[in-house]
Amino acid sequence: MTRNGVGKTTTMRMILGLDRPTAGSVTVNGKPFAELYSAMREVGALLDAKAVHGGRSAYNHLLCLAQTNDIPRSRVDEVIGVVGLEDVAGKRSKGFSLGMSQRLGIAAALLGDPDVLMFDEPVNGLDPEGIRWIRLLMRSLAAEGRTVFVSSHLMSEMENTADHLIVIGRGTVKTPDDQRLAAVVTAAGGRLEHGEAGELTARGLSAEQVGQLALDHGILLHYLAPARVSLEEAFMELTADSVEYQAKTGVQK
Amino acid sequence: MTTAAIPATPARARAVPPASRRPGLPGALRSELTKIRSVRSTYWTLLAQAVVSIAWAVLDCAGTVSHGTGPGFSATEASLTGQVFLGELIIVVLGALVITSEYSTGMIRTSLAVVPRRGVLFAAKAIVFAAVTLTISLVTSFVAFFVGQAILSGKHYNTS
Repeated sequence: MTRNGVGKTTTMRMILGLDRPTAGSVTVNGKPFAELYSAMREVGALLDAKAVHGGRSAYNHLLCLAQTNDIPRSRVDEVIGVVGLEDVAGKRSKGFSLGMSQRLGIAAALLGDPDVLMFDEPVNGLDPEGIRWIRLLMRSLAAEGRTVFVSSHLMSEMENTADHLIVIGRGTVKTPDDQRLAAVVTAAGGRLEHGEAGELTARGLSAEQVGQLALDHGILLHYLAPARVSLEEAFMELTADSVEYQAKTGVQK
Repeated sequence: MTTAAIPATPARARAVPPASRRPGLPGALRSELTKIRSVRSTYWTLLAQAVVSIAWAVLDCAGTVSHGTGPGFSATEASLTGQVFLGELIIVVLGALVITSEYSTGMIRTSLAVVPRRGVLFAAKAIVFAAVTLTISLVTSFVAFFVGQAILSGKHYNTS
């Protein structure tokens, strides 16, 4: 989740091997995307609902995708049912509304029944009924044991949709034994930072986890408080450095 | 030591059978065949190719029959010039359409997200296009030839 123009779509495109990162590499389940055994069975993606040949019927569009990964025809009918496009499956997708195109794109992502799904801005341009449908679908897909990546710049949307939001947890700590605490926090996957007035800020772990760690290792804590951050604050803080286009409030004189 | 453990994903029933071998060219070929036969432009261009090739043969041969043969007359040429001149051009149009339509519609992004190996995708596309146009051109060539010869045989200009 980040702001417009920062790189959500580009990140997804890099995962799919459509863009090459300037530096570094992207792997999916430990392999570059192009080396996956069967791409559709591992990752299903909806990047752009309009990235289809409009002259082809919805059914044939899904069929030609399924055939590339040796996915049986029966699965095409199944996903058409899942997204509710039975009535228009034989129609050319040129005439589809944005909502219908989104459904077609989601059907394509589901063809391989993958463990990982990526939806780029899936609710953009949808009516309330469509938004509700996508939200319920994403939740049910996740409940089946899939990982669903959803990119969005709409915070309320994410708060409504996600069961778990991975927001960097923080806790403010005071201890006379900060070096040992730093070591155990780091070992547990967190990070300890020095703040004002001898306060330490633990990142990557919750206050509960920091407390447990301190107890397990017999470290005296004088003070431990969870620093609660609302999703909106966390979002603003995390993206503050990366705003490219910011409207200025007020009129300059 | 406690760490933030992500709950293990429960095993779920698979809706799609696992791939018995790594999907590659055979699947990509089936897919490209579906693509080429599921858009109208294929049928229009192939129909145009057949009509132009055969019509040219008919006109050329009928003209020869009514006006007589000129120097350097070839019965085969009279039947097949249309195929070589215009029919071929229309095949070129179809060839361009097969690939450019993927880029102009954005379909190529979807295609590459399911066949991430470029070589496999483009090879399949080229093979299917070549096979389809070769088959159709063979049929129209023979039809144009025999129609032309039938017309020429009225004055015994046909190839013996």
